[in-house]
Amino acid sequence: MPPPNTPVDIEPLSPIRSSRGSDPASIPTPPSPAPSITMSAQHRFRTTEWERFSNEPMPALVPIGDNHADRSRPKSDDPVDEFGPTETAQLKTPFLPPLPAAYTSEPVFNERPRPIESDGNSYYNLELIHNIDFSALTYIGTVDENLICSICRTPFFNPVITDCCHIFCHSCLHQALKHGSSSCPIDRTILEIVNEDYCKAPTVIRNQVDALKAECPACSAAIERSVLQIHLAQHCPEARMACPGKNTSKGCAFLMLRKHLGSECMHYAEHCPDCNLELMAIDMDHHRNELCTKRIGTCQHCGAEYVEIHSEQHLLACPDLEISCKWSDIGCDFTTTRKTMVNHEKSCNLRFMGKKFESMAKESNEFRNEIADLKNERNNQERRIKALEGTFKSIRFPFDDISDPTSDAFSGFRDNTDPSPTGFDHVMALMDSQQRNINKLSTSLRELEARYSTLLFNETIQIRNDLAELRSLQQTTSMHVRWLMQFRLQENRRVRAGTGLGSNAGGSEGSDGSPMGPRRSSDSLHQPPRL
Amino acid sequence: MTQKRITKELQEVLATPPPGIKVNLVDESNVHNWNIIMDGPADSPYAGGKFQLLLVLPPEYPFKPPKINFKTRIYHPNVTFDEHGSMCIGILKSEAWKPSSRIPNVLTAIQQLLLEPVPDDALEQATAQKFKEDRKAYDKEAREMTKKYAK
Repeated sequence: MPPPNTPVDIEPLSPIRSSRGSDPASIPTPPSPAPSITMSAQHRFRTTEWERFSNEPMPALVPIGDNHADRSRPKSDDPVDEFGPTETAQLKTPFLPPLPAAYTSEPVFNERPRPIESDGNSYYNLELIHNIDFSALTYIGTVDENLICSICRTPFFNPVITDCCHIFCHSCLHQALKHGSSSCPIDRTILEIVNEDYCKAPTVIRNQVDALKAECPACSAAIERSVLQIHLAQHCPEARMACPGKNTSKGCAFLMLRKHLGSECMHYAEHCPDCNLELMAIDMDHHRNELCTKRIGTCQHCGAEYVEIHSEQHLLACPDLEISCKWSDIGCDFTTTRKTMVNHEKSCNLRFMGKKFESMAKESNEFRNEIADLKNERNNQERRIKALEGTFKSIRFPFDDISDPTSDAFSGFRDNTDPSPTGFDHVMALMDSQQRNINKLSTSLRELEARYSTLLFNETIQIRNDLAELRSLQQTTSMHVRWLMQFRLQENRRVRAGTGLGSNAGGSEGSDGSPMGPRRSSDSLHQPPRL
Repeated sequence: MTQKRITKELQEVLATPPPGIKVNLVDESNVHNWNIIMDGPADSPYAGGKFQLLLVLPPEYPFKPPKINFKTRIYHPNVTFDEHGSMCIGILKSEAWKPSSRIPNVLTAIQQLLLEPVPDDALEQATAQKFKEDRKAYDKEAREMTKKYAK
């Protein structure tokens, strides 16, 4: 990229060495657009070209003090107040500060010439066209969130409103539709560029954003956004403009800051009267006030000589400069030269008070610092306490599900922020509650035991009764069966006696040797039951 | 415009960072790569962990979504458990991205994702399975991994 202030595509116009002191416009040259160069100017042009390529000064015509080896243009980050633009560079092109960041491009000439005047020369408009990126401006104060484009996050520029009633900068919406799906960047309603699904935002919106004040990128003044371009083109002292020499026969193509505007073109070479350095007249003031190390000034107070750019340092030490007493801030209005001030300070009525005052001020400063430190410390501690509280609350107690008395024992404890002094209490409380719990459990166990044994007893009594009843029933049944059996046996015997012996019907029962005898061995009665 | 919007958002995030999030640039001269330190949200198994994320803003930002990767390994159904740490989150899908979305929205969405994984949209199927079937085991594993990697 070419250096920002090199006029590109314009025939390099050389400052004219030989014409120093005379009006450069008076040199007889044909008017622009193709200015030819006078002999000396031509030489100068060749010299600069020579220097550019050979890195050595061209012999003979180079002035004293122009023998610097470094012929390069200053980098934009060179600290200007220390070295400034290098002298040679100043010679080739006048020094201009780097372009503010908000510019999208170098300002360009307003190429519409003024009407040709009666003398046959065309006159150029010296106002430039400044291309400003409005999204890079710094706005004054806070801007209403409703006036900020949700895409570029800066106040609307050229706002448009969509069919779904969302407002964007025109360029933002256009880019969004070009990049992504054709939908609203906020609610995804289908939007088509070709269908013109959006239109200019209402004037009320435009007026609001146009009324916003922004910092001028050049002079930092607060300027209403709508007039910013006019401000830069016509009023801003720090903005660039075309050199008035453009309208002269010289056709000077350089740009300059408006604050340097004089009655005529200052883009011609001049020698510094002090260091004999050759540079452009427009940069001379800056060079002499800020850079020249050979310019000697004389102090108007003490008559001492010093390098002009160090005049401020001299004033801080000048013995003849009138200064006020060092206790002036507590009421002494005595003024005298610096060298006699020593005597006054010895006798100043306020010197004791002043010393006291000084020590008090020092002390109060110390206190202030201490207070600030303490405040910081307190804040830190508070933060730590809060953090500890947080972690402490987040600790889950494993005994939370124990019955009420236990959690009561904890609740008092949990509110305490410092765990260490109550740690023992905590364990004791825990033990107590455990003991209580165990007691409770054993009591209930005992109760339960008693209840269950009673229950069991009641149940068994019933069963025992039933059992006894059943047993008696069974006995009765067995008696019946025995009786019936006996009866049956007797019956059988009677039948056998009746068929076999006949007469022996009333035979003794004891002589009965029937095989059934052993089967009845369990019978306790061998006689028929007496029922 | 991209540069300006990114610078603006960076300023905003640096001035008022969302809770539990720290942002700085990977390289001071490049505003497109952000380094993000995210605290694991409390009430999630990632609590106590510090997760590093790399946020890359494309040259087409805000018209294209930013890319975010976990640099710290994280056991999560929607983040791959490898050195890439790719993430699946709705707001960053290109069809879902809106130029009006902003980085703090994205960061809070990620915090939300840590709190509530979306197993139906998972990148790590095994993790998602575990999350769906055995939440307790998943929590335990996530806690362990957080302890192991995100300290």
